[in-house]
Amino acid sequence: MDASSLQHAVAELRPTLLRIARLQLRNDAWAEDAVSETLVSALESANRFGGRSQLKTWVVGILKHKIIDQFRRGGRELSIEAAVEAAQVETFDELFAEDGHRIDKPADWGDPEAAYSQVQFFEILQMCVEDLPASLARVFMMREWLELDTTHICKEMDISSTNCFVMLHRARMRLRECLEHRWFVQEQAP
Amino acid sequence: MFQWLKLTCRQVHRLLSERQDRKLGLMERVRLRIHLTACDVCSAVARQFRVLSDAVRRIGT
Repeated sequence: MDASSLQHAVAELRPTLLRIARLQLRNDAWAEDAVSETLVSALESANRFGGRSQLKTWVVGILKHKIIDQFRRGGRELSIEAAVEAAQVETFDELFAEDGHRIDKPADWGDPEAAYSQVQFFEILQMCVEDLPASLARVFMMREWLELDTTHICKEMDISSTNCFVMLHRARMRLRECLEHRWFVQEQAP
Repeated sequence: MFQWLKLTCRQVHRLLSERQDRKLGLMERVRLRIHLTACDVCSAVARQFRVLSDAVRRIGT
């Protein structure tokens, strides 16, 4: 790939990168910054992109680092929002009987590979993440998409590890529910 | 007998999430295993949490 077509291909990724950055950072200005820095960095180091991996995978890899930098700069604003969210209590009482046993059986999600092969599935998944309260989405994406360990996440968000585990659990419970309703049950409907 | 080994579904849902974020203790793992062997509901949720992780890692690939 020559320099100008690489430049073009990188620029074309911008909307995709912006959506991912917003999903993760939940702040438009921060997302814009992270994406701009990613594009600059990708073009500067274009000579290191030897076509070994897909261009998109390579650029998204850069974006991950830029998002982590952005979190570091988010500092106080980030930890205040996280503290508010950590104080929320969510018991999911509709799912459990008083003795703590589950009332209904969740749907069978079938073969996940079938879902992964569809663009619409990821569209729904991202919508479900967007529906989460900002701090839950941040913590969840830091853990599952950026694959940071919880010690790192707690420190960045300035919350206790217990709060961190609870927030991750709440995020997973909500996402599970959202995917079930908006994807898997729809899929199986006649 | 062995009542102390029993976990409720509510507790198991928590552990199914936490095992993706921290190493569970030996007793936690034993109690989780015992519960999952007998409980279809929690086993289904365990699979769903794994699918969720898998799916999120594929965003942007």
